[in-house]
Amino acid sequence: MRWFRIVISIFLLSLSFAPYSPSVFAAQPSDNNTLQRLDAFEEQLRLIQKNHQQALDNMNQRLEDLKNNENTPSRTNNTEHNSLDQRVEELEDQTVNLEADLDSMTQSLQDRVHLNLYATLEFESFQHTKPVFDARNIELFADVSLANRLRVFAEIEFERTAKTSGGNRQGDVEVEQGWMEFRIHEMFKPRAGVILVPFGRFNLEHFDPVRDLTARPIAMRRVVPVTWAEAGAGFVGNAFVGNHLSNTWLKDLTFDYQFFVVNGLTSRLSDTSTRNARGAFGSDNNANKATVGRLQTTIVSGVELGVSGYWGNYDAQDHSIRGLDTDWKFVFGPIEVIGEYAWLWLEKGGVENGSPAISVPRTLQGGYLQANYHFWFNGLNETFLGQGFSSPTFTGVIRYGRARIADDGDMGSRPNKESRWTFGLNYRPVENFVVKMEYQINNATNEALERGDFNGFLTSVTAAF
Amino acid sequence: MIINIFLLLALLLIEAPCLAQGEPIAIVVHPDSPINSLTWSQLERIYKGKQVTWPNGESIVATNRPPSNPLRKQFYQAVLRAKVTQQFLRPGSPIPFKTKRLKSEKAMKRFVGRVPSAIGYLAVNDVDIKVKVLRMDGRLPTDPDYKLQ
Repeated sequence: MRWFRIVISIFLLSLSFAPYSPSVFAAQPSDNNTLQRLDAFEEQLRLIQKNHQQALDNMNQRLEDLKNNENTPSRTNNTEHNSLDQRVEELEDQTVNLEADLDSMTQSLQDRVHLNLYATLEFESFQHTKPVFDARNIELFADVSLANRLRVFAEIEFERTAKTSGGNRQGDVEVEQGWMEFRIHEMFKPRAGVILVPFGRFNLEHFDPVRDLTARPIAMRRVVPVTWAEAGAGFVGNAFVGNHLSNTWLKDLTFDYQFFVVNGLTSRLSDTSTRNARGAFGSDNNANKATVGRLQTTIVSGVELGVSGYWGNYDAQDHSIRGLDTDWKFVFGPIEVIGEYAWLWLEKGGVENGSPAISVPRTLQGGYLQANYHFWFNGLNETFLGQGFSSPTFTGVIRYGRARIADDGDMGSRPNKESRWTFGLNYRPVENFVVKMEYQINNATNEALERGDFNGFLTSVTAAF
Repeated sequence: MIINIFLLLALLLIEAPCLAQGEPIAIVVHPDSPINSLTWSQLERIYKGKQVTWPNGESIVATNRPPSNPLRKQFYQAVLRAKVTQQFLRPGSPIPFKTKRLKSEKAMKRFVGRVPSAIGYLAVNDVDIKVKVLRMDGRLPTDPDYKLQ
């Protein structure tokens, strides 16, 4: 009985699965069908494998491309980069052009207008005189190129930098130069106005910042009345001949000249000075115009020689005055030797002060010889004298000068002579700032021209800016 | 030991001129400038303010480097025979002649390449087609007897 129940249960269970597997129970597959289905499965599997492989290959290819792209930019990127580079270059060019235009404009302005000043303060202490500070001058320079060939130049001195009237400060404003120039050629430049008379080198280069001693040589005040300016017209120019001699020792050969017609010196000459004889800018004491000229040659670099001449009448009676001046400058490394000698010869005449007994001196002459030595001690570089300055310099100076002026009949009959030794040292922390110190030993015969027999000490400070 | 010292000294003697000499300096102008050559004396006059115009009447713009620049030092010593800080006065005045100071070689090249009347100096290696190299006394910087070697 028990076996019967088990058989019946199995049978019923079999029946309960029958609806869920009809193919199994409804019909049994044959061998052919099975094989066909297996073939179909295999085919499907191959297709799947093929597709999978293809997908894998594509991915690998893509990966490879990506790797390559990392190393080499794509064509699109290259084009973009090229375009950007080009743009940057264009911008750089534009910036350069703008900068150059600005530079050019600035340069043009700098070329056209130069404004400079220099100021000097002196202190002197001489035998038998009171020591004194002298706020000597401020000089203003304007050098303007109106156009490529037109130049205007002015030098105005504010002497003692104080009131010009209404006070006791000895003030004075004076135009020392004021001229216009038209450059036709470097060799030929007409110039007119108030000009520095080209009689000797010192008069043309009298500027305080340029000189190495405070005091001017006696002869450059009493014989040649530096600063000597006259109203007139003439020509200046230079010829650089060495350009055609470049393979010879004369490769630096240059000629500079100045030639002017001016009102000229007047009869207010005395046996102590020519300073009062300098002509007025707006009037003349005679109809005669004086001619003055200077020729300078640079034979080789560092060797300059000059010769000047002056010829004119000093009074209304056609009494003449003739002048000759020679100057020289030699530069040998740190050593400079400069000098000048001048002569003036006057025809007898020129009654002065209404007294027939007092005439003009018949001859005036004098000059100087000066040696400069520029040096510096490197041990001072870290001191207050050297620190912060690019090229500080000391200059040791020694100068001998003399002047001899014939008597004019006012006192005695012998010529007045004065000579001077000067020993100086100056310090230039920069080129345009100088502190000068010097000691003078003077010796005079007859009337004193400047200091007489009195010795003394001078010091000054000059700044140009 | 002694041989080694001699060899060292010989090497120093051979090398010393090379160490002492700088690079040749070329004098350059604008590429369109009609100037092709100058003499050293002319160049000295230009940088001392004694010659301020070109033959065609144009004002010369002389360019310069700062005083600390070694090229300027070499240029001043050899051409102007002066200290690097030396000022040169405009003729007949105490006003210093001014050159156009440029900060770098590139700036100088750029400026000279742009301003037709400019002149400057460059190390030979910095020269390119933006500027024109002048013959100085008939010689180029690469010639053996050129002054600014």
